[in-house]
Amino acid sequence: MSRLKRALDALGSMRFAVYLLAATSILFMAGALCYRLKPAVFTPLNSTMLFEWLATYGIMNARHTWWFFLLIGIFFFLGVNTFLCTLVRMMALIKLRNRRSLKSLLYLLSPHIMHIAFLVIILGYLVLYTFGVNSYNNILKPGYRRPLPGSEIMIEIRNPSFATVAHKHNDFLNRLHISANYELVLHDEGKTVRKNLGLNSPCLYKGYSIHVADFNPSRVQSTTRSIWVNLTIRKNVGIPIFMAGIVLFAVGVFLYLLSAFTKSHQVL
Amino acid sequence: MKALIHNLFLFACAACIPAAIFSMLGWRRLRNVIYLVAVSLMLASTAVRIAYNWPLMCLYQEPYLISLLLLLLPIHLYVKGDISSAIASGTAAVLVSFFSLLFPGDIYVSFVKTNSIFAHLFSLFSSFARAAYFCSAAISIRILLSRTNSGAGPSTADLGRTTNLIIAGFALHTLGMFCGGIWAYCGWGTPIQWESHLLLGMAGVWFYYAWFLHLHLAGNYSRRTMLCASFAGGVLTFLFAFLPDTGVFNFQGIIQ
Repeated sequence: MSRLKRALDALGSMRFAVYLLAATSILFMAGALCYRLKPAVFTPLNSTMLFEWLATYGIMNARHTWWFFLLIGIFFFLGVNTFLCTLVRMMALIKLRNRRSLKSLLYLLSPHIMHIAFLVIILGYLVLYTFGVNSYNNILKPGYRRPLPGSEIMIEIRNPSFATVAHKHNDFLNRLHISANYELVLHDEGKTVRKNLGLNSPCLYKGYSIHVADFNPSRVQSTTRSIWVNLTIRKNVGIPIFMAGIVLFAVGVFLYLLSAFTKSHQVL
Repeated sequence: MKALIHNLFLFACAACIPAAIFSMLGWRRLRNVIYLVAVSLMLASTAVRIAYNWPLMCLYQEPYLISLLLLLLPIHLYVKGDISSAIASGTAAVLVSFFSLLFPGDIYVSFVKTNSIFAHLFSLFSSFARAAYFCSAAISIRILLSRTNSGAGPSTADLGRTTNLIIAGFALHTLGMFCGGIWAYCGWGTPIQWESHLLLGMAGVWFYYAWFLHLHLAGNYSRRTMLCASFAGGVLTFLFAFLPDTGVFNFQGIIQ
């Protein structure tokens, strides 16, 4: 029992965290150098799942991807370390709750909120790159329908509208469509649902997220007059987990800075 | 318009030279006036650069934004009365500005997906973070050199100056990465876009400063070691989070 406790203490220790963070930083920087040498190996990560990529591009280009394999192992230990460290410190803080003011408690709690958020974000990334539906190059024209991948829901676009900007000095921007908006109609089991879809403004429906990857016409006087939109369709629970992690981390940072700067100007 | 953006930046860099000379001669008032002129010119260059592509984001604008923010930080330190730190960070600002001038990465053409508030916030926050890291590195090396000459070790206040800057930079770096993640999700459907090695460099720098802050909290290391780590962070930021945004050496392009 004492041996197990010693092992858990070592796994959740600050010293171990320091080593792991240093190793993570070194591996990311090594990764940046490897990426610069051979970017073509890494760009498929935009469209393939993590384990699929590791089994193909990863294994076949081990000279440039070795750091990625090590990083996954380091992240596992970093996750365990963060979880154990946060658990122990949170339990100690809960015992102190009656002896501390709310402000002081929030200050002490904020790093742990960031640590929990870090775990949630890592989990979000893992789920994002492991499960789900990722479908690319779904071209749609007004009046045509196509199914959402993995379902019987049919989608079509209506009422395309484009925004331009009048620029006196930048000719490139003149007559350029800087945003595209559509009415996305979803035909789902006899129901018709209408949603808004735009560039940088995805449409969310029953776990699916539909994104505008590209569109035509890109300019007011385009050489081709046909209207089409290229959609990226995803169904992935990793996204809400990732977003929840972001919000939680931001809350932690906000509480830390708020408590620190109202307490004194000396942060640490 | 492109020439105006470039020339305003060029004149700002040129104004830094007499400011540095006056600083060495001890002519403080003249130095301050010339420095403020340099800051104003760089502010104008940045404003015109942003307006030139608005509402799209200018690609590779970060070195110029970092130069501006680095030039602004010494004013904050000067107002607080920390003159030596202001001079150290001002020197770093001049070096970074000249590097951005000689190695331009700007192509002045953007793409429509940068028409997002998150793209602009990502650029601003990550530039602010890198400027804070450079500033902390400059202050650290100034303290290390001056304390080595005097024989006394760095004080707690010395370490506090750099650590506070690193904390501010780390918070902004984190917010910047989150804004970048939200932008990438809205635009491409995934929070990570594997398009540049800058992504990995920025992540490496983030973990480096997470390591630094944990080291600081552990409290087992001397102030001198922490200041060395702070300076090393600035060097790594330059190599992995600044260089990818710059271009090739272009001396001929200085006069436009």
